[in-house]
Amino acid sequence: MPFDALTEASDEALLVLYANGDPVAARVLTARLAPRALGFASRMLADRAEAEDVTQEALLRLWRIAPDWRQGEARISTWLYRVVANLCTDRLRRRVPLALDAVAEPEDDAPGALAGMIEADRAAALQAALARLPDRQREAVVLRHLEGLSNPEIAEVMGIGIEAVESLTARGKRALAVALARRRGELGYGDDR
Amino acid sequence: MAMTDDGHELDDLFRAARASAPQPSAELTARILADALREQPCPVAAPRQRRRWGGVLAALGGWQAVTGLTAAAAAGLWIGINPPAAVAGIAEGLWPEPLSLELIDQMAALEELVEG
Repeated sequence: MPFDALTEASDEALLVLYANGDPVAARVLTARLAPRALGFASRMLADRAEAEDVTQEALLRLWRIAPDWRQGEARISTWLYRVVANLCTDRLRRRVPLALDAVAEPEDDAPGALAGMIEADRAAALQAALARLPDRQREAVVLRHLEGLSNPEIAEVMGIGIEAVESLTARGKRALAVALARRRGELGYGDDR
Repeated sequence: MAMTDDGHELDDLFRAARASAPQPSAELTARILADALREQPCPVAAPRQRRRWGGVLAALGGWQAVTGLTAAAAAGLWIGINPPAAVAGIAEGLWPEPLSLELIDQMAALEELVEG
């Protein structure tokens, strides 16, 4: 079936087509799901190469479960986020403590600060602050505010209640705000208060 | 001290981060698709039926040979049902006497052997 003809199909329909031997369905699913898996893994791991490996592994598990996928039980995107989260957790646990400390905050007198902040600098500052959050807070904040999931979806991904999601997100945002406060001027938000 | 209490600045940073989300490289996409093709349950399910008939056709010499074979079979059948006068004349020339079948009672011959 042509690529364009499948772009409107649901994830579930595409997975059925893939399981039935349609070669184009895998391309459409990859184009749709790989960026989301890679974005989430990159935020969690702060390491592009590791995030790519996690993305490939998560999608490999999707291909393997395709023939046994039960329609209507779970959304494929939610299932994929959960797999990515578990793979990231495994990798974070294997890391030595020094690895997290190695995520250095940008210097205040970096060239970017003198030239004025641009969007990429703000994104980098947020990423550095995210990397210093506890893993569960980071996971909840990334899923809510960068991946755009609802609280019930996050609860399903993380295997916790909605109230716990709200608590993790709130604490994570407070920690981010504190961590980024001293860089307000550098980030183009005026002087520190 | 924190960023603005209403969270607008933090939301602005989230927006910037979303705009610079990493995109899969061509190399990563190729790795993922290679996995997908390798793991696909029945990647050639549709062409399989055609291939089986294709094998039969190939064994008989292709569709041209099968066409000729069908025409020859139809002609033979028609000659058998309604032989032309020329064919009947040739048959009589080759075998002029009428054919007859005789049934031999083999059981009687066997009894003679046993008794004798």
